[in-house]
Amino acid sequence: MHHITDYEYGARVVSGHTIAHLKARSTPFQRVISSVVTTDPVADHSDEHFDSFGNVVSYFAFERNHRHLRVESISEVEVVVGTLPSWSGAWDSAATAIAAESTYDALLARICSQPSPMVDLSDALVELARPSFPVGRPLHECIMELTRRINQEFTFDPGVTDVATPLSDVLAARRGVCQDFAHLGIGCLRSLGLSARYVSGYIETEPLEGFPRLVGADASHAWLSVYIPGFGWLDADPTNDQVPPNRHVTVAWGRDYGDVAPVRGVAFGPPATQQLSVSVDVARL
Amino acid sequence: MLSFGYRSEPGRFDELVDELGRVRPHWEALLANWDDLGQPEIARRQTVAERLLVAAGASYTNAADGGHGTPISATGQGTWRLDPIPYVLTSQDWVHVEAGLRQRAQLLDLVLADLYGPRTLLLDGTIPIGAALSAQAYLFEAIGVEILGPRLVTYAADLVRDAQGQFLVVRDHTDVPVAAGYAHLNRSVVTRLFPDALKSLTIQPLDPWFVDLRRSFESLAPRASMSPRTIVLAPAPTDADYVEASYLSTLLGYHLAQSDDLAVRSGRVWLRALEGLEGVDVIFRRISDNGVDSLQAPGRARQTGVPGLIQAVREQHVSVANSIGSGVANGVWMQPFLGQICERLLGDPLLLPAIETLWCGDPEHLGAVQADIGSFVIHDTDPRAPRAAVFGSELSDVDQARWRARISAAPNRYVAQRKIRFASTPVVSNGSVHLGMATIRMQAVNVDNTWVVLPGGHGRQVLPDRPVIDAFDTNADNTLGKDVWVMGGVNQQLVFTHAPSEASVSVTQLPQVDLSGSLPTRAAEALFWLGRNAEHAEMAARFTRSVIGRAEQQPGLVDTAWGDLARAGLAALTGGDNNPFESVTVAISGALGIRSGSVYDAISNLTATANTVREFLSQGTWRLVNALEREKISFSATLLDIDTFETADALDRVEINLLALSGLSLESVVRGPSWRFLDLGRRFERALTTLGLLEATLGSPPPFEVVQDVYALVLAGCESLVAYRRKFRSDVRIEALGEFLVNEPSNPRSIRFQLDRIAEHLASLPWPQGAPSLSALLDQASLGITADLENSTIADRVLAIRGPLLQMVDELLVTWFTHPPHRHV
Repeated sequence: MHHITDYEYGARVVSGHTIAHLKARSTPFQRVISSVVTTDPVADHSDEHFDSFGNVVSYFAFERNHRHLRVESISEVEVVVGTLPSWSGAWDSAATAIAAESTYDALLARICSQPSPMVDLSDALVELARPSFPVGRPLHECIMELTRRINQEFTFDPGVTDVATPLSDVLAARRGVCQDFAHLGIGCLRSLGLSARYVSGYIETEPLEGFPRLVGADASHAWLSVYIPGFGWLDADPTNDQVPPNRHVTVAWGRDYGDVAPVRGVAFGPPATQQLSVSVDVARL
Repeated sequence: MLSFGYRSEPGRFDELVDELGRVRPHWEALLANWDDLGQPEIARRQTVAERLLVAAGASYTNAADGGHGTPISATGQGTWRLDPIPYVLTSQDWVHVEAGLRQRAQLLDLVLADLYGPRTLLLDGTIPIGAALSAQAYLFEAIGVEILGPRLVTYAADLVRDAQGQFLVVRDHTDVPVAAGYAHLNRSVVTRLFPDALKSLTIQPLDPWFVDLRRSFESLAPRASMSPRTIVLAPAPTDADYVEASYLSTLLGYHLAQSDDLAVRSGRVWLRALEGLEGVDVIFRRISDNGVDSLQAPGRARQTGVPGLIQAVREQHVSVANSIGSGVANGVWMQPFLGQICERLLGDPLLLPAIETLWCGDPEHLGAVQADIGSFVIHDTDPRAPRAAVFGSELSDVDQARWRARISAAPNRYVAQRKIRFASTPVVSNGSVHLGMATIRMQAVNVDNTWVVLPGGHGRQVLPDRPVIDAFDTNADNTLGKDVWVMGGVNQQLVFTHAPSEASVSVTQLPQVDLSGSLPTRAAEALFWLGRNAEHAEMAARFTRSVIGRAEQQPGLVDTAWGDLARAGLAALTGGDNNPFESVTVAISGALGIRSGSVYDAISNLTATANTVREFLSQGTWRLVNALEREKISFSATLLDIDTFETADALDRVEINLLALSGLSLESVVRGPSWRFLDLGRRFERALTTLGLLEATLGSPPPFEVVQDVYALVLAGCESLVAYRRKFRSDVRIEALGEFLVNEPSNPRSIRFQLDRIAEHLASLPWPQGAPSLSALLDQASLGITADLENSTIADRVLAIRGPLLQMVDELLVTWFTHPPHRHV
């Protein structure tokens, strides 16, 4: 994967701080062979740490004048396609089962059953989810159906939302991008008391022969992951109606976009209009 | 007797009398003291107390209404009043309360260490996750950040005595525990009011605790350093807690900084000071941890905070007290679980439990609250909620139903605290003692893992059985403060006069940094504007008063050309537009009104800028600032029905206070950079305002018949009339006047004099590398001064001098005070 984020500040910036969630993490379905993040200009100070979700966070500080900033990451990973559980318990008994577990995974699941800064819960979300969750239905089946329904009932439209658009607007407009659909699915599941986390990553840019080009391939992508007691986390990509997704590469996960934004920064300089451009290239080796 | 007629309610514990109505033994000596004074004297001293609080700067803040000083109290509302009767804890009470607070503080520190470390309390469900996340104060970005020292460094708790006399906790404060400074201030006032009472009783002194506070910060410094630098990170001056932050910084001898004064470079925190960046080792945080680092937490993105601060903490180059994330234990949501947590972590029951508190996320608790909502105070823990809490019993039936529905919809968000009956305590108003109720805020500090509790605190009178629930909970009674006395200490007077402990000496006499040498750039800028505002107010007030005075003496003058020129002068000095159809009286009202540039406005700006540099100003300065605020109100009151005598009289008092302020800065301020910036502001303003006045009144020669009156007015406005007459003993000639006001080096009001002082200041300031030289501009201005008089008018000279002066001000501002840069997020 090759991910470039360019900021043109439009003015001379004196100093700045940037944090990035760009280093791919290892998962049961993914082995990281190499992953590096670099910047231009070269940072005057940098550091790396794990956040509370186990993601790698890169920190860069710039202490000299600059007009633009490029954050570039290159990662090589080995991915296997995830599998569906052959069986799962009824969705309406999942919360009780999660409450009884005392592992860090179950703790993350409990955290991801609560509202988070960018995912407010609401009756509208319960209403949206309800038809896919009849009493006693196995949880993985509910997830598959909800994923398909979001894919069908909502239109992918990069023009209507941005990172700050609240879920209620997405619900009303029935449009959005992968990030909105991930938040939507998460909101539905949490509103029913289930546990869902936000996953940030990529999908393969060039399709294999005979397959359609996937949506979201030219930018960083997002989907969700649901905790199924006794199985673990099951990824679901409503943007492409895939459960479990394939040709996806995981970078980081958290409660919502805010925990894992690919690049975030504060720069000091005179008022100016900033321009951001992002390019992502994912190639099969 | 003072307590005559004081009757406690049956079935309610009273602090002053027992159930048979007998005065409790520890109050007897106290009451005897007050009986000696008598009621009128006590009432008088209460008034004195309020004056002392004002003098200490406790009562005015730069409110958001544009800097018109607004009285505030510890909560930001109302006038701060102090009950001369303290809240008294016997040594027996103290043993219990002290042990209980130490245990709670220790426990909460352990809870924080767990929540930001292994999280076992969440793993095993001792703390339900729904409760922990409800207040949105659990900072995920702080999880796993290993810090130096304890998570909790200072701690406060609100206590109340119930009707049985038991102490209970109303709430804990772990984010920014406020009010240790108020407790210190209250005590210093009470000590001055009742020196005899304190001398004859054995009340535990407060000062040693503040020494412990300093010691605690010193022990947090990340690197071995002879003099670790601690700063107080204060909120904006418009914030109600700014006053205390400023008070504490002065008391402890630390620099006060706002977020924009700090920068993170190379993983370290630096203070932007006049001579460059100065390293910071410990931050005494007085702003909420929620938003302390704007690089983190986009969901809470506020344009405040110090970006990179958490990274600097992570790299262990700086300690923040309390640690970032400690706010999670603030407030009420944790109370329902604290008993069990205490058993688990410390193996003991809670010594000082809280008022019974239920979390609605627990179905059983939810049922209990829903069934009897009138018996609870309902807290909405969501920080976005419009009200933090309501009293169930004060809701109408309709509202109760609404709240029940709201709670059912999101039970995790709501915490209910049982409404209990409080004990009664004596309070004084108008010199007599009444039955009242109070809560007390107690403080503790962690010194090398030992909790030291302040033997005192900040008490507040409250309405019957009604704790103060949130910032919007306003009523006048809430703002009556009480000093908290702990009996059984060594005699306080002895500590101070006969055996000065190392403690009190190091607090008062050894500031940690030389405040006169090191100067944050924000403070330098504020001092510069303080100087300008003070000078502007002074010149505007003097000229306005001179106009009123002349018009009084010679009523016919206002209808001549003199009136036109007086109006032009008023417009030039007070931001008016010199409307030729306006009478002089109307022009005077305008000069004193609230428009930008008016005397009123200049005083408001003066107060506002003074407020941002409290730590550089003496108590005497505050008296003058407060007096000016009062006079501002009194002269503006005369404007509706202008009474020239009253107005002139009020202006006279304004001018005298301003002259005193000017004298104070000349005689009582150490000649460091802070004084230089203050005086630079004054010099530039005096030069520029004088030029403006000369241009408006003498720009073209006045008509012959009023020329002497105009000259006299200008000289009076420049405080130079008497000096001129002594020097020349004749009618005023324009050449001599010009020379005297512009070029006379011995006249402290002349332009030349200002330029000479400016030159001295500029030569003594530490200029940053590459700063433009101002000497060329200074030379240019001097040339304008000495221009050939015969061939140039006053207007020509004004133009020749003003241009370079204005350029100098611009250069100065750009060189020293690069404003908090815009942030690209």
